[in-house]
Amino acid sequence: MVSRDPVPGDAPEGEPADGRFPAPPAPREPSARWPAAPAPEASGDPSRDAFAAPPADPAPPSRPAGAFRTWRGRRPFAGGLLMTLGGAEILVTEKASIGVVVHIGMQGLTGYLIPAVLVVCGVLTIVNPAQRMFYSVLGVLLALGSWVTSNLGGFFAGLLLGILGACLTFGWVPDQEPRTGPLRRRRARRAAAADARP
Amino acid sequence: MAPSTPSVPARRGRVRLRRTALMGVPAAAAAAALVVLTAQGAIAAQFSISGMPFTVTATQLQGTGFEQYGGLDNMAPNSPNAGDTGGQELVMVSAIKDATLANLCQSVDLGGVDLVIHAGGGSKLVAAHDLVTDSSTIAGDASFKNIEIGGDASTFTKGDSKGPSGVFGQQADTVTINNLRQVNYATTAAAFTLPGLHMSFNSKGC
Repeated sequence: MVSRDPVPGDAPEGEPADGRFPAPPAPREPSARWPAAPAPEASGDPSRDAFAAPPADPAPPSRPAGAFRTWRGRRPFAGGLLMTLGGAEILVTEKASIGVVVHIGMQGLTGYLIPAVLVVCGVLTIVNPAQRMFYSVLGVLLALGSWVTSNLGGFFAGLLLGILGACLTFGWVPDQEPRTGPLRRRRARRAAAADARP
Repeated sequence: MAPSTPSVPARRGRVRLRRTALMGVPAAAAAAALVVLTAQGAIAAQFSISGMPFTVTATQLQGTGFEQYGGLDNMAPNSPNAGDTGGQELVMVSAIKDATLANLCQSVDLGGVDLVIHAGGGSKLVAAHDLVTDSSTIAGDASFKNIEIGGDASTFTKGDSKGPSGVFGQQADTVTINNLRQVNYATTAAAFTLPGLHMSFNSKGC
């Protein structure tokens, strides 16, 4: 037999071609995320062609992953970003002249210290996600404290962003199984059923 | 060619809703408690606003330890509020050590929409401690007790605020202003209790 790349529809190498064996899955490059070509007998079902998935891959990705997306996936990005924005918003609503702040004394300084540390917590969450527990707890306490110290928490907007960011940081867990929504599970089931059909 | 291992989407970190709610629910409850306590006047908030014009109206302000003198405020470079004065604003600095205000309304212009804060509308009045405002406009019916007019602002002692030397000012033991209306460029209050607090957005302001 002439040695050639297996084509969908061939029986596995060395076996007689009879209808007992399901067609092997379309061969794929190790790095490509899209299947090479749809199986010829699957052309009647357009919704299934591009997503013909082997049973071992229940959740085919719907778009290729970029470097930024993978970097984001390794840290609580949304939480850190929201905490930073919340602290920045509070600082933007302040900006009293330095003479007045110094006159008021320590009480005036806390009005700037609390949102500044909130910004630092947000940035550190992104840069150092291993310590996110501490940053999220500290962040939520600072955001709540900013109600008293800093223009009612930047007129409530900075307080809301800070609390939301801290809660998202607290809720983030690393290294999870990729999500399969009901649509992908249905597609995978249809693909597996079509593969099993003789 | 042997079939290669199928590609699997990379494992990513993910926000779990249950964990988020574990912190979110107590934080939301604490924030709500803070708002309610402030509306009852039990918690004093600290204010420090600058650079954006900020209108304050009140039906009555009564203060002890009052100082007033002129000043020149500088905005941040390239501030959108600079107008044609080059970012400098002639202001009157009013410093009051302790003040109570009735029917206080404060509004900030956030680009078209005004954020309006109402407080002190009922029987409990707004109390402010160490209130310093840089105003471009002050209007109202004012009466003073033991007023000294014309002193050098750097010598003032009644309001706990020292003005720049060589600047004309006045200081008084007590002041009562009815139908107060101020346009402030900077407001700082070390402690502001706001009973009956109510925040909203509208297009009119105060």
